[in-house]
Amino acid sequence: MNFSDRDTELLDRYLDNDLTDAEAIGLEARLQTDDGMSAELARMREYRSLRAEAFASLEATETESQQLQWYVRGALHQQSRALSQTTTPAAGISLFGRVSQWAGGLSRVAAVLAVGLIAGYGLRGTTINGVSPVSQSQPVALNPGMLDQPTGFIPERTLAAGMAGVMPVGGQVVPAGYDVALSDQFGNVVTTRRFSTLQEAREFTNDVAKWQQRHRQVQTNGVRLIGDDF
Amino acid sequence: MADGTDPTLDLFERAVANQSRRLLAIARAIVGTRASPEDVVQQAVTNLWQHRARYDWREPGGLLKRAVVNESLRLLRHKRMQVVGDEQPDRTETPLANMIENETVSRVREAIGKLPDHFRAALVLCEYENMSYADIASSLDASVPQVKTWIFRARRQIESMLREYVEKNNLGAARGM
Repeated sequence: MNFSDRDTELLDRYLDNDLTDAEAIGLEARLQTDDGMSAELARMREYRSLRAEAFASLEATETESQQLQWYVRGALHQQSRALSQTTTPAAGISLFGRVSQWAGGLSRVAAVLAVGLIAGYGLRGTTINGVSPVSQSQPVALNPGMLDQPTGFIPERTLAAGMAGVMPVGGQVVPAGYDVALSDQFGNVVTTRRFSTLQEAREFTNDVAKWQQRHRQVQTNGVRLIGDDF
Repeated sequence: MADGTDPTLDLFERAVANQSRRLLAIARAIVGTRASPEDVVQQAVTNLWQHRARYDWREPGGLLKRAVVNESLRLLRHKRMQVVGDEQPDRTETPLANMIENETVSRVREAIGKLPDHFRAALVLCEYENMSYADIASSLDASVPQVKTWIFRARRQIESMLREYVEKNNLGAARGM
């Protein structure tokens, strides 16, 4: 049976819950007596059901959703970081933003994590004037809690200087710093960042630990992060 | 999570986390195989974040959906992209997906994919997102009558494309049509 466009539109609007109360009551009364109309409504419902199945098949998996959140988070924090650098440098940057900033770019960290090269990371102390250059320090395995108990791992001199915030060199007082190195499982340093305070270094390691934890979660769910580029 | 100075960052991230599956589905429904839905959502969200000061954030879900719809349509409008093809194949074209998704779903998706872009976007927002005509009109920067026309025509075109298949496979009887 052929229906006018007007009737078809009326049924569409009925199924879309767009009819006024009066219109809906009038249509329902008509459906009681008009078999053709009610058959058409049933047919339209079934096509709608087919479309609903198709739309449902487009839904993302939980893994895809998590991966998207990773990407978005990286992009947002990069933007946030860029904004912070142009307004209040180093102040108020989020944790993930700091990872991105300190580790020389989020994509780099993510890429390293993606191929599973980071099994641990090292912490080394050094002064910022080259007295104790990075290359001479010995990287050590580090777990996220290590900076809370650093005495046995970090060269005492550097630790003391860092905690005091200054380091005597040649009779002069100069600022001391902390270098944190990210190493792969072979001990190769992937990147190093310098911090003026132990607190900053500690926050950084915590951030990296969170990154690794999240990465492991994603890996566990079967996702390979290839060519992450925020 | 965010601990930065901008208090909206954390809120924004949570909104994205809550909506990400639906946002991906909306993008996938609109761009089909012509772009990566992940890229569409990421670009939309990034754009929204850049211009966050312009918007009322009391209902972030609506803003996010609108941003994804607009970004999807922008891509389709300006790029007239090639089918993503081998690089990012449609999930339905993989053997595994074919095993999982039945033929009817594939047929319906194919029909939806053949609709004009605005018809498809309006239909997705109406039937998948259950948005009102007024909200759809606002999202698509169109009038309510225009939206009603798009949805009406989209439905009829899909029915026309599927009629033969439905009748041939007796889907109507099987489903009580």
